[in-house]
Amino acid sequence: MNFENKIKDMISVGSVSPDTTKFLDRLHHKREKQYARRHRFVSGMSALSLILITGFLTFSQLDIGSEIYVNESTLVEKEIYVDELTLMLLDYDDDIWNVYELLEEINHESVLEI
Amino acid sequence: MKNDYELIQQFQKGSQSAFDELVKRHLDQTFRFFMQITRNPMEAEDLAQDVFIKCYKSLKKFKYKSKFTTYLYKINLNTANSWIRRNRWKNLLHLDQAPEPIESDRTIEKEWSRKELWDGIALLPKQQKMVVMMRVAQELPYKTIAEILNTTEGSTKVSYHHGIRQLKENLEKSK
Repeated sequence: MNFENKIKDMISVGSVSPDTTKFLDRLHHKREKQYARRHRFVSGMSALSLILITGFLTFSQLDIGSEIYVNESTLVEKEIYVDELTLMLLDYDDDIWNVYELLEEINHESVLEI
Repeated sequence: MKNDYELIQQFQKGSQSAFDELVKRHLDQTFRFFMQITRNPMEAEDLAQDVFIKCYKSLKKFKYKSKFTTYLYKINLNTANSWIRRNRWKNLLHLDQAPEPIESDRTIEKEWSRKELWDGIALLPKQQKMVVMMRVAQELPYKTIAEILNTTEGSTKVSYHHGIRQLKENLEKSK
């Protein structure tokens, strides 16, 4: 027996055939399962992308800095307030160093806390 | 009785039963091909299912430039190729420790095991591997093989003879 025939004999399986109806049932079940899995994967990836984009945009907005959230008029009002307070304290208190200390404290407070 | 093209046309228009008819018509041949490679009905059925799922997805774009059987052989071949490659890695990594099922036909003189044969085929260059698989497992004529591989009949014959010679050498080395 030559080599080719030996191979053919080795792999020959006789007559085999699966149950067509069962095969079709299993085929469509498997196909639908694959479709559902792919659909879930696509939805998951879309949700993840949306979260990442929203997160990135939020982060980049916050990264601009805090100064844009401070109203310019607040700073002007603070200066006027401090000037008036200085004059008032000087009128009521003779100890200039107490007034100086108080003003120092005010100047070192955070702008947002005023 | 409708031919394959008519069934594909119906399927493209949304008829599921046309697809089922197509599967019924070509199931035996496909299943047999994978049985020859795997010798395991469960595995052969799994591979046949993969083939028809691929068909289901791609037939909607079928261009009617070749016969459906040519198209199906190509898918069979690619699926078998992937299986052989995967199986070879599995063997190499010793993941597949289960003993081979005992063959019912003991009259055949077996100098090599089936595993060795497919490992030997897996080692062939791509073109030779495809031709040998189609010729040996599906017993296709050279003309059809040439059509599937987009090559000439002469070149297919040459690939087959080189492939068989190389396979013999591979198997003798592994003995």
